Amino acid sequence: MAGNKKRGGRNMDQVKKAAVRSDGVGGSATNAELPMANLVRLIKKVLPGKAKIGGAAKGLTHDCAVEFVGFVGDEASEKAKAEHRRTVAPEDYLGSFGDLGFDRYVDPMDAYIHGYREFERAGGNRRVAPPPPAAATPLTPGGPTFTDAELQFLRSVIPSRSDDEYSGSSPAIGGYGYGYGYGKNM
Amino acid sequence: MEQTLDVPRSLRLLAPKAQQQMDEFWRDRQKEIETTKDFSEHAIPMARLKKIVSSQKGNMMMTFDMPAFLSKMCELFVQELAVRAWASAQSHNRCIILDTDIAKAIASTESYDFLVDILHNHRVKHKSTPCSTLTTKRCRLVDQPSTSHMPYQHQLPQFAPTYTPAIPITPSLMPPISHYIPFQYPSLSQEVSPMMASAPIVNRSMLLIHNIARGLGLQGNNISTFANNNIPDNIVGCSSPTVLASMMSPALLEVAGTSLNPPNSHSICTMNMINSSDPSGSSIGDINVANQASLAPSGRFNPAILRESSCPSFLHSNNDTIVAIPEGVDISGTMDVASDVAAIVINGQEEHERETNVEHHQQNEIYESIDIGIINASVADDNKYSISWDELGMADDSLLDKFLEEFQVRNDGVLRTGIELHEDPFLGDVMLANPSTSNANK
Repeated sequence: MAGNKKRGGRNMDQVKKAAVRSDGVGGSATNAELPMANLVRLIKKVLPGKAKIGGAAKGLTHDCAVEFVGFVGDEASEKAKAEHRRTVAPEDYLGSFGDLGFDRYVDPMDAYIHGYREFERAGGNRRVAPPPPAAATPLTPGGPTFTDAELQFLRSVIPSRSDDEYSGSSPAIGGYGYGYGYGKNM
Repeated sequence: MEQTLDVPRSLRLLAPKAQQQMDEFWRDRQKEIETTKDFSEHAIPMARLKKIVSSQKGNMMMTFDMPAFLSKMCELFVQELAVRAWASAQSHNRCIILDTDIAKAIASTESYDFLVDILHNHRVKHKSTPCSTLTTKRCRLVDQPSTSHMPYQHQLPQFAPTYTPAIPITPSLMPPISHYIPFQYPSLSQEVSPMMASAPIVNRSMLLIHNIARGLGLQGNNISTFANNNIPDNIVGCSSPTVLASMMSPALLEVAGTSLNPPNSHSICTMNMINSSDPSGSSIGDINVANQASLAPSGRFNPAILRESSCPSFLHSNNDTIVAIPEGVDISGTMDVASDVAAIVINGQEEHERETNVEHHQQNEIYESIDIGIINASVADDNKYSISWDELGMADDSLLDKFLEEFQVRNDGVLRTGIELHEDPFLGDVMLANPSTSNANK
């Protein structure tokens, strides 16, 4: 069963990638790429200082990473569709890890997503690059609410949510903040 | 810093410690994630990951925390792949990780099977083109259709096992002979049983005349039907030897003429004239008579036997013609007398046959008497004495040659599709005649 699923996923990935790239030449090429410098930085974190990486190895690693994201993404999407949901959640990916043989990823990714949600829930409205204060006082309406880095982050990820957060930040009620966090979790 | 210094030492010493290194890697990742406080820093831009996933499944949406999840997932994958490749590079005592090391890492891990296609495309690129950004981009675009062909090639072997070859089943043909065998056995038993029953009757007839009359009454109908069927065959058989004899010598031309001019009964009388030569006591004449008598029935069923017996019949016919001429005249004179005289002559023949049976214990004489009995029965149906001789002949043969009868009956049965009950005794008589020819030839 697992072997069949893997093969099916592989073929689907190949067909769709070919279709996407054949349609939009320039756009799809840029969409499918990841920054090489970031990948190399990640690799060197876990390797000894004297380790070096060849040019061909970098390109191959990049292609493998893109394939990995697409492969696991297809499996997670199928899980969401099976449950009649049109929104893919991290839980679908955690289930896909088990099905596809990536059991080592389940525990770290589960811990990460829980930590990330706690981070978003606690400091979603009062995000500060330096260490967050334990008891932060509400900021003045006139002053800037978010730093430039945070604004860029919000725009790149969820443009619509930045408006929600603005509306959420204006009333400084704790109960409303809790409700907002609950909505995010859903 | 200290840990980084220790790691290469362990790798250099033992290659099998790659698994322990992986365990250490995952434990470090777990601790790092648990101790992370600031989740705003991401090594890989989330926007690009989001585009990659959404481009494949346009209809699906993602939750707010999905991009961060994807970024971390991709980070772990890249680092795991790098650690495995580094272990491979160390096994070759190299400090530079090459694409071949990554290929070995992919090959050694089951969960990385989906990367085999990526590896294949990667090799195609680097073989066909040199290292340059512009050319690599073009090659990527050109290689796209090649990737589209790969799944089709994979699909082809999947169809092959689905086809199941149809095995034709040939129905077994039933042999027609098997249907006839059970039909023949009861017929044989019916034929044998009356012969066995007739034996004690014949023995009793030797003692008392009254018992003979009773036995004759039981089988009178069968013999009458047999005689009716046998008459035309005798006519044909009689004409053929006489014609052959006439070709040999002019003396028999008169006999042939007499046989042609008179009606059927006269032709049968000529057979009696030939049979009357028996009292002369010549052995050659006896054999000749047996051959001629056997030719009549055998000519119809077994032409091979007719061919075999035709040669000796020519030789014997010459002798017979010489011996038979004077006796023929005497017999023809006796035929002119009334029927009572004919009956007396028949009785005389019977007495001579008995004497010959007592004097000579040869099979030829026995078969000769059988043939005479058959002819006598065909000549006069009303005469009781001639019928008794027929019974005696049939009884003797049935006791001696049971297997031969069964064998021949089976052969005849196979040739013919339908066998009538009243014809069975005729077939039995035919078998009686055939052994005489074989014995005569010997």
